[in-house]
Amino acid sequence: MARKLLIAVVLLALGGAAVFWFLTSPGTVAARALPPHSPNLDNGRTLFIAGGCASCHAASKDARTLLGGGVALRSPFGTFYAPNISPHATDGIGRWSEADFVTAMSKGTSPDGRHYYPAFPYPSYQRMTVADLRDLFAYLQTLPPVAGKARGHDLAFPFTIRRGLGLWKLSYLDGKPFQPDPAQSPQWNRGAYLVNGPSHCAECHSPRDALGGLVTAQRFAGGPNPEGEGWIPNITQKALAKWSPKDFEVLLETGELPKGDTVSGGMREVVRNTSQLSSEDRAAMAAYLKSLPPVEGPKPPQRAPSG
Amino acid sequence: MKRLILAAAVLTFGVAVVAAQSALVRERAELMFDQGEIIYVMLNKMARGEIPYDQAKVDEAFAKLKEIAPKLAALYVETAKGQSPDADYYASDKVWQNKADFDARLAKLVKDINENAPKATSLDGMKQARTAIVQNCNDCHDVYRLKKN
Repeated sequence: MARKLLIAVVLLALGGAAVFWFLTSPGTVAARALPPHSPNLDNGRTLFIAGGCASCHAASKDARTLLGGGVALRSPFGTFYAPNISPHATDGIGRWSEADFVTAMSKGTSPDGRHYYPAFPYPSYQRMTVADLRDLFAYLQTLPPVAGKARGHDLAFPFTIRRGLGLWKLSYLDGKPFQPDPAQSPQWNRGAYLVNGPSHCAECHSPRDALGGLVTAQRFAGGPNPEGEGWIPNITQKALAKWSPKDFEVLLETGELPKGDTVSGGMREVVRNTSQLSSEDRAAMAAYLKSLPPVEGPKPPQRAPSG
Repeated sequence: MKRLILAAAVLTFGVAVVAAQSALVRERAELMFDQGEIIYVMLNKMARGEIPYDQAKVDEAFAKLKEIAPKLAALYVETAKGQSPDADYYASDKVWQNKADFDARLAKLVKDINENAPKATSLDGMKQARTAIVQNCNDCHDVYRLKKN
């Protein structure tokens, strides 16, 4: 009787493992699925700026095209270190194919079939069109190769089990690129694409649940800074009803707030990127942000003055 | 009876200490706000041409900056961390983790205000002075100031 029970348990465990393995298999984009395409390097550069790649992948804030990685991103799950994405053949992505890059950005899967941690914001990047991803890849390949791999992430068990991210992706990745809204203007749609796709604003400006996924019902409504201290503000019209589209534009160009103060911390780094975009792109983002319906975000904690 | 009086005295003393610390937190939030009203709002609007240039107001503004900035260093004591209920921002714990750097920045702010205030005798002079001073504000906030909500 005990023997039969043992066999049943073992079979169940094996069955469970097989289901887990199947459910967590990494999604990929096959090379043959990509139609012929001539890369547009100007567009690639725009996407590089909008995407904020240098902010995580360039070790120096000033040498923004040296993408050797190593920048630390703190989170409740541990500290991530962004990898080398320069076109170095062994330490970077120099040997990647277009399909490898499209797969990484839209499915969060590495060329050797491992899941990336969503500290790399592919849930936003998945909104980007395949053509744009290919332009971005072509642009990245023109940048200087940087030697040296970045250090590995500093995570605690069980977050060290990458395969588990396959389950996470089933909930938090929908695989849908951006769908323009025909009822809205081209400018609004451009803004919606930039904000939700390459500029990945919601990744900081939304609260996250216990599994580190964005709380969709409170998208853009702010939340605790996932990197540690302070609060990231609500940028829906619940908080910013008094802002004009011009106020958003000025912020994205100079970091100045309507009352004259300037943004600090992580947002200052964002402005280092958005200040380099065209004024049309900033105006588009402003038009979209101004249209965000009011959403109540989580309540920030009060820290009473202590003695 | 003596014990009751002693307990009351200790309690009153304790409350007074806490109140004094909260007063420090409030005061530095107010002083920072006052500086902001000058350098981020009024002088900024003049620089952008949104309000007309007024030498008398500019002189008064720089006099106030010279008066406020030196008061700040004494308010950032280890025992007075926390948020002022009326302010949007508060000081990060990094202030006390890197006290030497923080104090140096406040000292530089005072120095830059004193050195640049004499330049503000025209619109262009005021703009130059403002740019030199406001760099201190922005760079320090980047590291040491946190948003409350």
